[in-house]
Amino acid sequence: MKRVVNLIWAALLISMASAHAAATPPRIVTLTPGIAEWTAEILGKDQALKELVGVSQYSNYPPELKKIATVAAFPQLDVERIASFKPTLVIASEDANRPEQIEKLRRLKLHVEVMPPQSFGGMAAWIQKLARVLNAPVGGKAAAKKWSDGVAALKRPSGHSPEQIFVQVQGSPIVTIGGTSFLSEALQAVGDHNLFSDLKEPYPKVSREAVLKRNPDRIWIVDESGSAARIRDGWKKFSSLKAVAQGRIEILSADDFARCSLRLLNALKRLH
Amino acid sequence: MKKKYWLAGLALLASVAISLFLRLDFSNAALILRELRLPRALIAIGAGSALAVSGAVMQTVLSNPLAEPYTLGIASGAAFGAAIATTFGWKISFFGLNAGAVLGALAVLVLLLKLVVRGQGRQSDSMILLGIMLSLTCASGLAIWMALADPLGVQSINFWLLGDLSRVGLATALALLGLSLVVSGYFWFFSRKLDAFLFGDDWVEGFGVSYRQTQRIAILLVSILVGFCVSAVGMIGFVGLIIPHLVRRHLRTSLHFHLIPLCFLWGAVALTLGDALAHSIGEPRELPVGAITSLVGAPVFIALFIRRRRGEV
Repeated sequence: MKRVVNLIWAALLISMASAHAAATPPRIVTLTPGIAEWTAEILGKDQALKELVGVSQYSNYPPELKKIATVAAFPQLDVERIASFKPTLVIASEDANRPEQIEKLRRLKLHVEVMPPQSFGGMAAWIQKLARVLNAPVGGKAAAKKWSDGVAALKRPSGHSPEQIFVQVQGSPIVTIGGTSFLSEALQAVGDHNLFSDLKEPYPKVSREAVLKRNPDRIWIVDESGSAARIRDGWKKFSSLKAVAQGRIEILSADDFARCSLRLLNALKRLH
Repeated sequence: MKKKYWLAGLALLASVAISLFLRLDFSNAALILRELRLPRALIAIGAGSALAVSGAVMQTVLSNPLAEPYTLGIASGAAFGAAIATTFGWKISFFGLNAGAVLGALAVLVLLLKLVVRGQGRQSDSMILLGIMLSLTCASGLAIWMALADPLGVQSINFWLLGDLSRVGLATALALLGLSLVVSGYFWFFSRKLDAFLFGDDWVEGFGVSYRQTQRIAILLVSILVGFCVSAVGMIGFVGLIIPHLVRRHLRTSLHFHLIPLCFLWGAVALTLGDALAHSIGEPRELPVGAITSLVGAPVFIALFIRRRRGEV
């Protein structure tokens, strides 16, 4: 008899605990701005705002994310601060967060999922993986479709001759995008060519002379620190450059071009 | 002696020619030369000469063969001063040269002299050790400043700290070259006063030279020169240490009438060649010139240190 009563108690406790777990919404912390942005896309803005308890610095899209507590200065992490939010899920990035810090989070018994590096060609799969981590397959499928449709819409008509584009992400020293950056892949995908795609680093420093020598058709300046207008004026001196002669120097929003997001696709579409 | 000047002059011409024409894209030559390579060559001459002359004068007035702006912490002080001035928005500058850097350099040198008790530490390695400590202190301050700064700007600061001649315009290049000429000219004009230091600190006054006044003026001028140099091109190590020693060996004399102008010329040659390497060996990438001078200079510094320990220098 005693054993039966004990069994009933145990069953009751287990069912109460699981009911509590089902009722408690997840407490999610994201450690890169890109993951936060895609989390909001997959879960939907309202649900994301309920479930996200902490985001990393620069998580500014959708704008409502700015209201969420910043728990990590990107790319450094404040492990203690993250733990203090008692998250049920921490989503980190393999290339943006340091492995030893991820390990520290795991040692604190936090559930950490690490997302692989983003690549333009592999974004649909990346989105589906994030959706599995978030346990939101429907939202993931929809987001991945949006991405694939957006990429398909960027395709140029046949006969388009590829343009050589120089993308400048920093003024001094001059930093551009190399062949392994997602933006270089994006240019390739839309039928254009990154001026420094032969360099293997994602963000190499190059000399001004090298840019003059390669003579790009267009110059895109990513406005990271509000100095893009000054950088553009610096290029205007070099009137023999094709991009300068044809007035094809464009200033781009860093928010649009720093992340592999739907906003990047929209921005690329506008630049066509 | 005339031959030595001819040799240095020809070496400077050759290094400038290399810097101007090495791997030049001749389809766009006039524009590249005017806008990019000429300011770069001029700033290399200005900064190289400034560092070499500063090193020669410091080694004399501090009676220490290992003294130079880098080992004494003056360059780190200048970098820290420039960083603080930038943070607080103190825009005291002329032709793009930052006065915060001068104040930082001056502060380190004055502190160093206060710390070294006259007659005890100056002749020994303690001055260098104190300089390294001050340099580390300034480097720590810079590290904290960088940790608090916007991470997007840190890469730019890092590159500047390693020595970068690519960001300088013609006006700044001419300003630094002019300053280097004026200060070097001053030291050359008063070279006999500096020569008095070669006989030992206790004999300086015996030559009718005021020890304190000469040393203070030298320190002030070197701080101004190095401060402006660092604010323009960042930290470029070892030029100030190696060139004066090599020139003394080449001249077989330490008399400043010849030492100052030849340090000016060979310092200019060293940095012009270093910069030519920096912008050509990694093409299309840009390498920091300070890393190249340190790569060459560090082994020479170690050799000098060992030889000094053995009493050969």
